[in-house]
Amino acid sequence: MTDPQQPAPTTPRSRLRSTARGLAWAALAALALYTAMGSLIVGAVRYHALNPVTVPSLDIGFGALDGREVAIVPYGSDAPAGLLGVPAWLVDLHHAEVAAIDLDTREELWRTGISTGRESRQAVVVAVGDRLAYVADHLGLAVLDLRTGDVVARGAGVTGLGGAYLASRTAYAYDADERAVVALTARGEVLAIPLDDTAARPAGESTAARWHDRLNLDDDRRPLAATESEDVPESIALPGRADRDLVVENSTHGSALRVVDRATGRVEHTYNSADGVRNAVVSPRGRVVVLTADEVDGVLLGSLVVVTAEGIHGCPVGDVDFIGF
Amino acid sequence: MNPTNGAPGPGPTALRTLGRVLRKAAPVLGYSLVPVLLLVFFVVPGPVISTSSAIGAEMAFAAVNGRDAVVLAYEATGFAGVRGGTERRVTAVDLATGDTLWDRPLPDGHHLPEVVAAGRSLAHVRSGAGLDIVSLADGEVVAEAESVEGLGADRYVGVGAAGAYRYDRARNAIVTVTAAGQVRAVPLDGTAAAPADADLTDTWSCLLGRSGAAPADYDGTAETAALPGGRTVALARPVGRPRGLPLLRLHERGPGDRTHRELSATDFAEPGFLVDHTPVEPRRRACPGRAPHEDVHPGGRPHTARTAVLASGHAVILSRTDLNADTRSLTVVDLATGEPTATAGIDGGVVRAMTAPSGQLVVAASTELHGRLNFPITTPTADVLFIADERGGLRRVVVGERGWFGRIGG
Repeated sequence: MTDPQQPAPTTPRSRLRSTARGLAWAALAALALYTAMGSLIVGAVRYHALNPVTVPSLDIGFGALDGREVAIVPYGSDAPAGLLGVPAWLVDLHHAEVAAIDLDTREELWRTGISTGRESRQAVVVAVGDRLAYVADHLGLAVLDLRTGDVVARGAGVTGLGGAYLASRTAYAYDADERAVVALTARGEVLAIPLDDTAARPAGESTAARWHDRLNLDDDRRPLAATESEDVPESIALPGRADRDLVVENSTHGSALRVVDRATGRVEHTYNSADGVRNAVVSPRGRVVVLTADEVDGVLLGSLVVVTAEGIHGCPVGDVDFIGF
Repeated sequence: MNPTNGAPGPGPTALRTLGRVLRKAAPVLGYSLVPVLLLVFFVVPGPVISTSSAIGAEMAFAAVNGRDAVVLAYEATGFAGVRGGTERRVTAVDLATGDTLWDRPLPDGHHLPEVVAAGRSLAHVRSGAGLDIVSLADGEVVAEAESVEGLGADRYVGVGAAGAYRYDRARNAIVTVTAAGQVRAVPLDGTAAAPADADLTDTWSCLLGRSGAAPADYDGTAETAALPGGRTVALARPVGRPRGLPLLRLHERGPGDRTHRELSATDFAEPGFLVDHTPVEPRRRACPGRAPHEDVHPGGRPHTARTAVLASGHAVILSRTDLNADTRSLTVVDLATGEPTATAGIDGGVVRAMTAPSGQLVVAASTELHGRLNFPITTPTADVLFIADERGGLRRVVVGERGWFGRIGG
């Protein structure tokens, strides 16, 4: 063998070797080029998709952090991890994430992935405490830190549930009287997780009796589906402002949201979204949060539109950087 | 100061030596990889070969050389190395031993082939290309679709071909329709078609081909099994178990009983009994004058479903492996005691369950088959045959298993 530091004498054998090396490099370069091209094409197609790339769950939750009101929003996403991320066609793009959105500034505080895969997207918020948020999906319960978004416990990892946990979205619910998340186990027991706690323990007798036959039943509600348009009221009185209404003009191509003075009929604020209104919920602090979709840099993203008497502001959910940084 | 700056430790030297060895060995490794790859793909492709079959839901029972057998047609799509390509084949499996009696290729066709009927000496197999007639003795094709006498060029091909070749039990004939719409019949064990008489024509003309019945759907399981003597065994939720927990147990009810009593303490997750679908003969001569969309089968359905119970009192339960699992299990249970006698895992659904005249329950179900060296790339799903027998056993028979060289049947 020759020393690799020295220029090799050109024998037929070493020529063959350098040819082989050249071929290997060419193959590697071709593979890299192919990967990059594929990413670009798939990414571009995704980027200009007609359907929203992210879809917030119909069951969002509200909490408070340092005195600010925060929305906890599970959403399904088809967004690739940026074009420079993992080549899009190599991975299953469908995944579910949870985002915390400050409703004052409409700033995203954190986002956390909770599942991947085609059936992974129907997640709902079960309860939000002072420190923890509880989200349920087809893998069971996910307990998230409200401040950081870290997954504190998941599925079988919830203390007290362990291997008896049910990988089902409907096996978990919130009992407001008990201030606890109730859970059905594979052993048929009803357990309770006190709000802001991570450990499940046997629920009290009356709580257990109340939930015994109400958990893990088939549920027609699909949290990522669009609600029927007749389900969204055309006019919603703004909480705390008896003289102002939110008027929704809904269509599948887009919708117009207007804050209207009830007495004079004067339109005070207008907001046009790029998709129909899927749901409208009132937050504990009196904001109307409308689930629809908005276009951001040519991408249709699911969005929360926050309506108060002071104005209407859209807040896209799960925005992705085109390049992926 | 960092002490390693002044005196290099043994670590970097060892690394350098390792690097030198690797650099020397790399070309050797690279060159030796080429023959290995050639060997793998072309000479002994065993590691990359995979078995993946789709079994046609229509199967038939017949005596093959004196042995009770199920005759079935399938499509083999697994990776066969240089042989490549999808193959359509027909095979006979011994019901008592699970042995493959023969396994032969079918002529080129398209769509999933299915066995319409099997007689004493011949089996009739339909595919997108028409009707192939196969010898029961060795599986040899006696008449290819285009050479079936009296059918040949007139035969029905393409869309709707699955519904264009049907079996008339009462008359022991395979009925079909020509491309021009004339009904013809091939007698069971015959190789030639003749124009059908008025009875056959009026019974089948509205059921064949494009306008005919949709392919049968053999889905679904049952909650109860009826036993001789009026006993019923049911899968039901034990008393006190939450309504949302689909963990059921076997319960029984005698002829005079009003309530079920628990038979065994074994839990099954989301279970159901496998059902046997029995074809319902269409009403004779009901086609002429039939109202559009009117069904000509008594009862309005082309087949009836009944829980499959073997003569020995065994039934097969399809359930989730456990509550949170995606995989499923087939479990043979003795309905007298409620005890499981055999179990097998499957990954997908049940294609078809059929009770043989010789007493066994034959189940085609899809499962994941691991390749010979368990390479992740060679684990496609495949339809596999399970045979539940009257001793409570459950035999698994892989259909169309490829050998080390990619060939089916040795």
